[in-house]
Amino acid sequence: MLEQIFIALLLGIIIGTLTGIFPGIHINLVATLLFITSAFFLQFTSPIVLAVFIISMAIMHTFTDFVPSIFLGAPNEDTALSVLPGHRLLLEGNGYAAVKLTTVGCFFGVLIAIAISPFFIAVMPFIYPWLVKIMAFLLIAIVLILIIREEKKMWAIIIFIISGVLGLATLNFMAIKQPLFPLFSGLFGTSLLAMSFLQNVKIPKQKIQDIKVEKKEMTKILGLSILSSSLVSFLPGVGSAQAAVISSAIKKIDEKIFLVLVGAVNTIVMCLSFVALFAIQKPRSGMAVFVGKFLPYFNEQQLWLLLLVTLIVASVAVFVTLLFARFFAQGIMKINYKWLCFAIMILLLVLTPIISGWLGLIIVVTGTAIGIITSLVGVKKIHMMGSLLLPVILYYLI
Amino acid sequence: METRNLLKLCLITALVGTFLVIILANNIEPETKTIDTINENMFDEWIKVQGNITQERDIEGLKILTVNDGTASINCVLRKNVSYSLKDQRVEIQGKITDYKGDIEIDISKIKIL
Repeated sequence: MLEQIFIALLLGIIIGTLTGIFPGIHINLVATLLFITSAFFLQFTSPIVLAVFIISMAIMHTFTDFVPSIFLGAPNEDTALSVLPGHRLLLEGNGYAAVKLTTVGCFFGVLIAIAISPFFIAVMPFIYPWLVKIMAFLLIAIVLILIIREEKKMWAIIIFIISGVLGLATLNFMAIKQPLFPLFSGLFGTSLLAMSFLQNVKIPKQKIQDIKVEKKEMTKILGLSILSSSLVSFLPGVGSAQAAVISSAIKKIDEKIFLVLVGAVNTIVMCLSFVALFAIQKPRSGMAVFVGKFLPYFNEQQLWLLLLVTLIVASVAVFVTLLFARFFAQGIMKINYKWLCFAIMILLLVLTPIISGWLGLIIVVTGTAIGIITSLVGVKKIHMMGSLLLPVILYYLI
Repeated sequence: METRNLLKLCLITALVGTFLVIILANNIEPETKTIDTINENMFDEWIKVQGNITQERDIEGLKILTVNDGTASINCVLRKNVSYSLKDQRVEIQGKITDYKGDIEIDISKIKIL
């Protein structure tokens, strides 16, 4: 049994690295394939081994996913908000440091999630009904704060509304598979790549060095990530993207430290979704859905085994992610960045019909147009999170 | 291209594109399937079935409807509060194929009483 768990952990690390590094491959896709073929695997192994594979892959993916987001500008819904600060650091020659900041955030996120899990197991069944009642009003307040803080308020409102309506229509567009892929590829990926292509952006020589972050600032940001992640981890429809937005509204955050925050909320939300599966018997992430399918009677012993797996994988992920970041930092200068942007745009456009169907292309193009407007008028990209926030607000209100 | 023209082009694209997505989302119909052809390889596929509701259960704000179309039966999950009974009604259901604890279900997006 122990050997099987070790093999599952190792395979999870390998597959999670691949899904993270290559843009467009979502771990839900691998988990679905595993689930479809699980009857075959369960002849040789037990459901807990498959759950270990799923968790190892998910955690590894969470770390490595930031590498293409920052170096290639190809994000998904969890890493979308890291693209702009990451890209700015890349243009300063600090792409490696940007990935390191997200990696530090991810790792601390895992430690924090494990530390706070016993507390949430105890209190969550009691505060969950209360959280459901306040979530819509909390998100409305967050949106208002973000708009009030913006200099060009009218543009911020326009971007929020168009993104929100597009998000709402996309999520209700049943013919589209994996609707978040074309939505976020357009809003945060191809729009940035198109701007880089049009502006003929040149990538400077990348430095393999760290960016110093004050301990006091780091403590504050990790505290903030605990607060925001805890609010979203136990509710349906909200996740790490909303947690990052909530944090931004609570405190004005420096771009560099924001990368630590995005990393931390990603792993905290992922880990707490497994805690939620145990505490309130509800899966709150794609991965928790699959763990719930394999382990329908998920118990506390299994939860702690999976959290231990999380810690082991996170420790390996730090080194693997930084290794890939170093590789990308050294390789990116050898490539003509303008044409690299063009190639990734084409890749995202080719992947869209494969993953979501032909109609997904309309969503990518529309999202790209909204993303370019945001860049041209000079408002924050965070307002495009209306694409997820508006549907969620309406879900909780209606 | 000048920034002003690019902005205009993007605004038009964003508005037309969003409008188009709304129109398409409300007007495209899924393929009709018989229940016996539904299998686990069709996860996340959007389909339409027609049949009679033979059973109805209320669980935690959800309605679980068992639909039989003469070829087989399938459980369909309705996530809306419906106060009246749907049992014995002939319905047309649209939804995505999902799984619940090893059983294939349809997550209902639209239901029409025939």
